[in-house]
Amino acid sequence: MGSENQRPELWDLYNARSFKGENIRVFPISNWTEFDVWQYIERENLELPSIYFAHQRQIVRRQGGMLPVTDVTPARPGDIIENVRVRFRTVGDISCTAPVESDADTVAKIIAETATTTITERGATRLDDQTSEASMEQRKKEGYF
Amino acid sequence: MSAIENIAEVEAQDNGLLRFLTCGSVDDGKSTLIGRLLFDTKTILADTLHAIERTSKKRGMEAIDLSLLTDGLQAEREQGITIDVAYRYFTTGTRKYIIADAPGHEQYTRNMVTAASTADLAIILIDARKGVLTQTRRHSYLTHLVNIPHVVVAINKMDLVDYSQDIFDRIRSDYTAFAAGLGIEDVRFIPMSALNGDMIVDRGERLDWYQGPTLIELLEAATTSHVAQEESFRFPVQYVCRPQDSANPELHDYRGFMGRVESGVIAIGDAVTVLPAGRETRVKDIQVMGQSLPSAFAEQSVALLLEDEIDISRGDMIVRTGELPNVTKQIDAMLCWLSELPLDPRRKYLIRHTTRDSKAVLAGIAFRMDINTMAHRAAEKLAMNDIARVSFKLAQPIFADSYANNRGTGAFIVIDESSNNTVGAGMII
Repeated sequence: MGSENQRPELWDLYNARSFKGENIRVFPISNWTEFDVWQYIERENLELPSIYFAHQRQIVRRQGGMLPVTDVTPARPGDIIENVRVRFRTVGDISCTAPVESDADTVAKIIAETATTTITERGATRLDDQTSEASMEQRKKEGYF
Repeated sequence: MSAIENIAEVEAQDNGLLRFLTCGSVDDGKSTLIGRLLFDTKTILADTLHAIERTSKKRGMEAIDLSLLTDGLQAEREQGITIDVAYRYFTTGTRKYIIADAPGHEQYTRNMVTAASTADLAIILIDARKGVLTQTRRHSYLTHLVNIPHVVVAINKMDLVDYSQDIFDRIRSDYTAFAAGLGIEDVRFIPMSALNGDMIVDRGERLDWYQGPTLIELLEAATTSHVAQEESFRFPVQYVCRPQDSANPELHDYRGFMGRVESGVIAIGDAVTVLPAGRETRVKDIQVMGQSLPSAFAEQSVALLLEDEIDISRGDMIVRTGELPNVTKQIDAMLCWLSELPLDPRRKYLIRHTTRDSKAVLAGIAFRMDINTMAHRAAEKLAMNDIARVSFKLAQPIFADSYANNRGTGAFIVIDESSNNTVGAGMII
């Protein structure tokens, strides 16, 4: 079925029946906030890639955000390369995922920072989302997981 | 207070999750009310706020237009992305909230029933200038049909009627008279101005004559579904756990009946009856992840071990002996039809009730409900958004309570096997 063909979810009676060749997409934690996710990580003592924690990284500033300098996203002529202490609040395609400035190098510190943050995760880290409020929905429609 | 201390407080006072439904149209200030809740609970972060500030200015407004916070949804609708119910999330530090927002028009009845099915509380918006309208009756009937435990009537736009207590009192008595006729009890009334933020999170200064709680105080204090009433123990079996490990003789006879406690409470040693077999036994152990628990209560997912060996499979139900549900192959129910294809009396459908599926055929339509006038109409078939009293004949027995007594064992969905879609929502009478 098309992704726009969402079945109504009544009570706790989930209908996950499907025909051969069909897929069902489920978002079990779609109502979790960034804060919820970090509290869960702390409670379950989960291991995480180091990229989520504060580290030194070369970046350039573009469109009001920071872009990491990498092989696939090299600095352009005229860019000022800075060495900044950052962490990634979300990890995705490096060409459109920006880190944030942060000293939080433990889960506890990230939770403290998340509790007092004033910018949404998408606003801070997704360069493409600044063009359209609905661009995440558009990506989902195209099959983005 | 530092952020760390803040978090300790969050964990110390956890009043759980409250799901609520907002009923009304944009004209009643519903978007503004939701925006105001998000704004005054500091849920909106700076970048979102800047975005709506810019748009408000562009549209020539002096203050921030809080209804723009729900306009993201509008943008999605314009792009043709179907969203039947929009969910918004906020937290106060002591409680988490999920707002289910369904369009209020008659043609969206199915969306409202869907949103209402998981709600603990409904906010029914009334425009103070207009009072109780047809749509107010419709929304109240639907919240009552789906048996939402708490109803708050928000008499909004008090700023446009000079914050008049007389107008508030008149609307309250109109509503109370009408609600009594439907059997609706436990209704709370709040005068408010979502636009100015009076009686939502802050009390404001213009409604001194009102001594009751603000909206957020009511939300913070509302009990969630299972706390309020004495319920019978109902345990629909999801899965039978039989570990395959021939090297471990302890596991040889292990039979764990896994599922979620739908209602009530059970303890080790309690007498239970297994349906449909009707066999009686006792609870030998209650386990979660290999740990033994003395008892289990509603919404907990556990494995039950029984003293006697009884053949049990998915779809069976374990209940407390002496508190049996109705074991039946014929049900009378209120049904909301969800599908664009009308209910076809000649076809077989699948009914899913707890963890049990049964083939079913319509036995009759007693009446269709006119949800604007509350009149009963004769009906041969049902179209999308219709609500009717019907009866079904089932191929397999189900173990049912009336929906009014037990949401978990009184609700069912109807599935069309030719499309696998959910086409109906039923509430057993």
